[in-house]
Amino acid sequence: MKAIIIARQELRSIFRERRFQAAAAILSILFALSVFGAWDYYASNEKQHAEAARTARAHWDNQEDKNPHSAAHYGTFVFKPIYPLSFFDRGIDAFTGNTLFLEGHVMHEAKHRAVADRSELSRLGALTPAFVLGILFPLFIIVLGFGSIASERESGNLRILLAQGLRPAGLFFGKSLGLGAVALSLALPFLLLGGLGLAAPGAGAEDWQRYGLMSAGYLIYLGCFIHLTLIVSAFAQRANVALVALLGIWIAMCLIAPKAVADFAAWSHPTPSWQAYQEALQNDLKNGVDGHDPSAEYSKKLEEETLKKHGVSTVDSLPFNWDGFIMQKGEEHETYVFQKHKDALLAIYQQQQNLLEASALLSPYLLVNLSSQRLAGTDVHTFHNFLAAAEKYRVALVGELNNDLMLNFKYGDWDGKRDKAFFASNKKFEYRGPAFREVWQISRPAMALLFGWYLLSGLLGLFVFQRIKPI
Amino acid sequence: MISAKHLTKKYGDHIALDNLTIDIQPGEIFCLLGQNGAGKTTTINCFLGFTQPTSGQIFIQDEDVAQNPVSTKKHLAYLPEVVMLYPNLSGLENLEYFSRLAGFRYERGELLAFLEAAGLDEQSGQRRLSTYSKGMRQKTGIAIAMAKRAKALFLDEPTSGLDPKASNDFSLLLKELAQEGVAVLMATHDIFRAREVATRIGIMREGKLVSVHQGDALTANELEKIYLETV
Repeated sequence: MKAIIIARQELRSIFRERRFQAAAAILSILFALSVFGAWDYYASNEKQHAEAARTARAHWDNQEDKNPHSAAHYGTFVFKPIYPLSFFDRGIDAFTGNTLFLEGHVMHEAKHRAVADRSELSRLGALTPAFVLGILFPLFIIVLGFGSIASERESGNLRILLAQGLRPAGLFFGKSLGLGAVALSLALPFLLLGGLGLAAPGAGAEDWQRYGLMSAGYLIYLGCFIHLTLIVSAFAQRANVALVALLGIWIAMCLIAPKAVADFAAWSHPTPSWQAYQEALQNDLKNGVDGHDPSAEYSKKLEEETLKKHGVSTVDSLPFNWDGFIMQKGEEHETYVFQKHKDALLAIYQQQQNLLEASALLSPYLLVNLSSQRLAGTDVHTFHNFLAAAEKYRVALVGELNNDLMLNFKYGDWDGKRDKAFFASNKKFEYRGPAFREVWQISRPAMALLFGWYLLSGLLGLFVFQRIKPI
Repeated sequence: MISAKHLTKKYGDHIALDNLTIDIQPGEIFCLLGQNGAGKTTTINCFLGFTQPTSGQIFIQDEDVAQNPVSTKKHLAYLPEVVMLYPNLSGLENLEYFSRLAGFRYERGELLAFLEAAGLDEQSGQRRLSTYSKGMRQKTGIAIAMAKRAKALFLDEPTSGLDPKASNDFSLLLKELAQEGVAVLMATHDIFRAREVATRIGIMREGKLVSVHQGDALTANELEKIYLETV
């Protein structure tokens, strides 16, 4: 009961402060700008990607008549879909390529990273709603709350408060409730405004579920900062000391921790250089790998086996087109080698990622960032899910073409051609991204840890308040 | 009502309170005189539970303060030397807030009556505290202390910042409260005021209660002489 009286007073007192009015105005403008800018980003990119994907497929469908294997070399592009929630949290989207060239024999890297077209400054982060809520909002809480105990101590109010028979727990709950209500008074309109951004492009029910969870994550995160602010304010003898200490914590948690953790992960699990990677790959392609013979010897051996199996002496007597057969076998071998190297690289990334997740405990910002990106579909997991789907599609498409060459063309008939009708009937790349269940499953640990942070910081707050010194 | 037995407080080698024993009955006003650092504020802080004594016991209405830090506060009200309160709130709002924290829900009329008794009219009560003078803030603090209807009153230099008229009004108010059976412990530098209101006057030096005098047995001049000889 006392807690509610204190919370009401805190709310009333803060609302009447110039400091609140100014900070709220600035934050609101930034948030409105971020939602507008982010929505613009989403709308234009989504349109661009969808259009580019349609154009790429049209190019494939309408390519000149050619031999199916030549078509495999002609290749096609696929584009990573832009998810509705990427407007809220762009995650690593700017740093990963968002388009992939698919052709026979080669597994390409994703290309066209947005940061490549930007100045160095943009690395500081785009003004997205996630940035405003994750980085700027805690500053707002600190500015309003650093004095909530320290100033009361300096003014002597704390002595009168405690002399009124107030319990320390009541004071803590009251103050955190009050600051929480102030934060909610701004954060809720923000989240509703963000929801409008989601409504406009016509998001599905799953997107709303994701957005709901993201919003909950940000609110818990802000709760963590309210607890931290109160703890430091109760601990510090003077309000200005509390402010400096809290700014230090903010810098460490929101600015330094993400960088430090990423650098540490890259240092402890280094990835091979691009050159070293390519060298090892080409080496394996040329000389064979894992008991596989080099291509030349392999095809010779395969030829002997196949002839023997079909009881014929030359490849042109086989019941199918040997060229198509050997192309597909070669493709399978190349895919195996590419996949092997890719998997090794992914394993290193996974180790880095594991370390990153383990060290996210250090800062609630890392935790909210992790869960927010995952729910928005702009995280590493979703990106790799796209790459895997694209590779699966590449293998299937090239297989379809080689199979056609093998079954429907004569041996040595490299002039035989397929027309538009055939190409238009080829498999299409239909990718929807990981399902909500899967996304929730991988977002859950970070969300749970974030909630743990909230509870533990609350318990620490209660502990510190029990020992509060009014003088 | 208010009693301390063999109260000692040490900060390392420094002795802030040295074996202080005091017993204040309902209706009594006990004034502590002494220089800065004599231990007056430390004594009050011990009664409020803000300072843990090194040894000795403190009781308010027969309840041990060390064991019941929260429930003993029910019986007491406190007025510090400097009253800041909340500058964004009016005097009335400040009074209402602190009263509600103490568990009292007063009507507006009752709140205004407390302010009136402390020397603030209705118009002043509606203004924000940021516009108040030090004396007006002090009066709001007095109203807050009175509104608690406590049996024990602790005052730390309550009249500092009050003009002579307000100071005199405050003395009259204290006497009224004492007549209603409130026990008052007041730390002050104001020898004249102390002699006027006090039932008993204790003079402190270096943490010791050196002497105790009946308030009406001495003239102000005599008291001043004793005081100057003591400190």
